[in-house]
Parts: sequence; structure tokens; C-alpha cells
Amino acid sequence: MTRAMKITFTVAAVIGFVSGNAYGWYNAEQASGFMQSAEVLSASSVTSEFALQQFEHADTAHARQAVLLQIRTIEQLEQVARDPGSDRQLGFAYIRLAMIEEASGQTEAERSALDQARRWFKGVHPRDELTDEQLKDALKRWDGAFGRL
Amino acid sequence: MKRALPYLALLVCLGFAYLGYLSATRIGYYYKHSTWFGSLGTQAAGQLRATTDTTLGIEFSNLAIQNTPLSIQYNLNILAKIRSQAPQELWPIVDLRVAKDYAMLARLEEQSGNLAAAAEHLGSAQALLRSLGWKDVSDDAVTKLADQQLRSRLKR
Repeated sequence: MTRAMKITFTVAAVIGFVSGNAYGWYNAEQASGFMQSAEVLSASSVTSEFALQQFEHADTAHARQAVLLQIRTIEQLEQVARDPGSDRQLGFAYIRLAMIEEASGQTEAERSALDQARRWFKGVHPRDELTDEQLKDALKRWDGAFGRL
Repeated sequence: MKRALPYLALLVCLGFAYLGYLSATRIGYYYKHSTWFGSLGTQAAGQLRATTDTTLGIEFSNLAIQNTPLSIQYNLNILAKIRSQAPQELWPIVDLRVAKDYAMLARLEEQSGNLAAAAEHLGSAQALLRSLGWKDVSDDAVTKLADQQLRSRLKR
């Protein structure tokens, strides 16, 4: 192999590797953005679905644990990926938590959860001041609609 | 050899381009993934990444389930793997999916006359649902759950 051939192959290899690398990085960035969005959506929907089922079927302690997991996950996601739908989801999660606390006789915790629910619904309905009963009724209708899906 | 040189150089160029592409996509993706949710701080970001990785795994596994014993059994293996890598606080979510899969398996085995296998799967589903605090884990309730799952095209 002559010196010229060695230089040609080396240059070809370097050009190939660098351009392949650049395209690879670009693709990795695109894939990462797509996957991050998919994971954020899945975290919110999987924990919400689990909380709903535990709320319907499990005892107070397990239902509370599931709803708190949903709230923790969505609140954490809110800090990194703002989603307008999260206000409503968190509002309903806090109503659910309030109903669990009501069932276990924890009046103070129930009140605090309803206040949180009201706070999250402020983002969705800024002018309305919803009563406790309206909030609970809204959850029942929401869960009914979700169950029919 | 001299006439073939440009073609050979092109071949070398394409080969190295492919190599560069493969390594950059893998390394680039893992690097990007490790920086997700970075604004939360290292520990919280790591926990959130583990959470979202797990929930996406569960979501994908839900999409893949078909109403056959083989598919459900395969899904159970996938879920065992997901659970082994998941943060502990998400184990109940995986367990509920596993319980539903056992309930469906029990129903399918019952329909094909394998009563012993059906009873075994039903027992597994009931044990898991009990551990999740479900108030009604009677045979009827679990059968109803299995039928709902088998009817639904979208397993949730």
C-alpha cells in the first residue's frame, strides 16, 4: 500500500466517522426528546390509573398510599415539564385524598386536601369558588366518564 | 488497484460513518437520558427517571398483552423484570398488573378445562389483590375483573 493510499483511506475514515457521529448525536437528541415526553405522559397516566383503581377497590390505607404516589409523581413532573392538564389531574387527586380522609374520620386532613384541590382548580376555573360538595360531585362525574372509556 | 481506490475509499468512509452513527446514537442517548429532569437535583432527578422508566415499561407491556395464555405468560416475565428494576414505591402498580394477568390466565384456563391450573392462577391473583388491600377478593370478584380485562382491548 502506497503512502497516498494510506492517506486517502485515513481521510475517508475520519470524514465518515465524524459525519456519522454528528448525525448520530442529532438522532440521539431527537429520540431523547421523544422518549422523555412519552415517559412523562406514562408516569402521569399509570399512577393516576392505579390511584383510581385503588380508590375504588382497596382499603383506606392502600388507597391513600396510591393517591399520594400519584400526587407526588405529578407534582414532581410539574416542576420539570409544565402540563396544563396536570392542574385538573392534581385537583381530582386531592379530592380523592379528601374523600379517603373523610372515610377514615380525619377531618383536618380532609379539609387540607380540599383546600389543595381548590388551589389546583383555580388554574382551571379562576373565577369559581367551588364548594366541598361541588368538588366531590365533580370527581364522581369525572370517574364515571373515565370508567366508560 | 489505482482505479478502484475511490470506490474503496468510499466504502471505508461509509463503514466508518455507520460505526460513528451507531456509537453516537447509543452514547448520546444514554448521556441525554442521564441529564433528564436535571433541574430537580441529582438525587430527585435520578428517582424521577427511575419512576418514568418503570411506568413506560408498564405502559408498553399493557399494550402488548393479548388474550392468549402464551402472551399473558410472556407479559408476566416482562413484568417480573420491570419489577426487579423498579423503585420499591412502584411495586404495587406492577403487582396490580400481575394480579390482573393471573386473573385472566385463570379465566382462560378455566374456559379450556384446565381446572387445576385455573385454581392456581386464581389463588395467585387473590393473594396479590389481598396484599394491595382490595376489600373483595372473592372468586366472583376476581372473575369479574378478569372478564373486564379480557373484554377490553386496551388493558389498564
